[in-house]
Amino acid sequence: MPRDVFHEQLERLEAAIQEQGQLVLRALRSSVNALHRRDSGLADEVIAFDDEIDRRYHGLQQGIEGLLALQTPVAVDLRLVLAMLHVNLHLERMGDHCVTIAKLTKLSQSLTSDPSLVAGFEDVAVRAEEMIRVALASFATRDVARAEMLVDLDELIDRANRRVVSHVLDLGGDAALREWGLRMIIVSRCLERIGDHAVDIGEQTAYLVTGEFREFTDASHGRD
Amino acid sequence: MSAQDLPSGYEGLRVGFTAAVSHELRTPLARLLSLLDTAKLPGVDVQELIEEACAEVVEMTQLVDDILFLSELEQGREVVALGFTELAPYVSEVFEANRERALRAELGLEQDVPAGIVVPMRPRMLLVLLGNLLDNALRYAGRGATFRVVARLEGHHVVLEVSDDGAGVDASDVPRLFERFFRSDRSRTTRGTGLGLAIVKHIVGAADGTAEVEGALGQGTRFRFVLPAPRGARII
Repeated sequence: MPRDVFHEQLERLEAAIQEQGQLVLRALRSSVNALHRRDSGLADEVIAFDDEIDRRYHGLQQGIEGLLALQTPVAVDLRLVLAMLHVNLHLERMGDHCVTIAKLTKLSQSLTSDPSLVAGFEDVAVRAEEMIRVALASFATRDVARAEMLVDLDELIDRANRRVVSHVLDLGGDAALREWGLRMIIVSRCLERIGDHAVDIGEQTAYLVTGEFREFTDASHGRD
Repeated sequence: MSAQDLPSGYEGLRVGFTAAVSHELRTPLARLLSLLDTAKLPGVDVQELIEEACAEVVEMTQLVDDILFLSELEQGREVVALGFTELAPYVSEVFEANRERALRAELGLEQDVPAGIVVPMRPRMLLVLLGNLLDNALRYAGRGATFRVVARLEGHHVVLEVSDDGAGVDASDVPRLFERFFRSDRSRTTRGTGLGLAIVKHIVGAADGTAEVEGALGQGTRFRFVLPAPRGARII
């Protein structure tokens, strides 16, 4: 296969990665809208939409495997292929977290809620969306400095996550409210994990550009 | 204001939009005030005036709802597409929900949408799109006209054609039909927010589709939307 065809295929794969990122953004926005509006129908749509994200994940995976098998890329091309393999996985995981938020929304339909906590999730979701955009843009432009900014953005989400736990602990003696609060801790954790995956994509940008993999912060050692 | 003082670019659009919203709200507010003033007069039918006042409030609420909806669409806070939705059942649903209004307006409803044709938008967005187009025909097509929804698959695209054979609009107005607050009915004798077709165009654009419109006075109005059809998972 001529090299220019190979590079066309690389470009197509990278464009597909960016498209996948846009789908994940839609899933995240919709899952948070469903939570905010207590919209069980929209939550169902988010859950069903994950099949599309998974389908594209497998399509990308096969495309990347095909390139590795048939083209044996080297140097920066090899790093790009390997980085896309990781980015693809992180995006698919983000989609899974959106599904978890949607499922928790459905499970929490009949429970008493605390509107101030839900409103707080909206702010966290906006930050998570911003992180995904920064991660995708820095990967596309090979901008390591911008990718490293994700660490600061992630710290804001981590702090918000810790505040949610404190808030839930303060919810008091209403059993239904406490049950709802426990589910919201998982929602908060999902948003926090989405932020972590965005940082991981940033780390792939740094690997792609420098050829060396390094974690941006030690904090990631403690992640799941 | 001199040409140099005119706001430009995004700021100009924002200022223009704010002015348009203010203007659109002022009209029903003035009508509402007039109705309330009239209600103070002796011997008037207060019940009828209250009903008219309620209609004005409903119109203002619809306007605010449409503005908020369009704003959320533009900011990406309202997601248009989450996978694909089968078209035919939603055309039937919109027809059924508007059957009485169509009978009163003497507007015929026809569809030719094969089963299995899907479009890349959420059911809610599809209902808004079809509902706004039908609403437009109900207001402007005139008695005896027929509203048609036709869809077909062309290569990797779905072509959705929505038309009526009614009164149509002046050919010079056709390019402006998707503009916010544009109404070819300049005397404003019909109700409506003037945002329905702007919302339609935004939904189609957000679903990676294109929207076109053509028509002329006495020749009806035809909307043509081209939307991406589902593709296989293979990337390369």
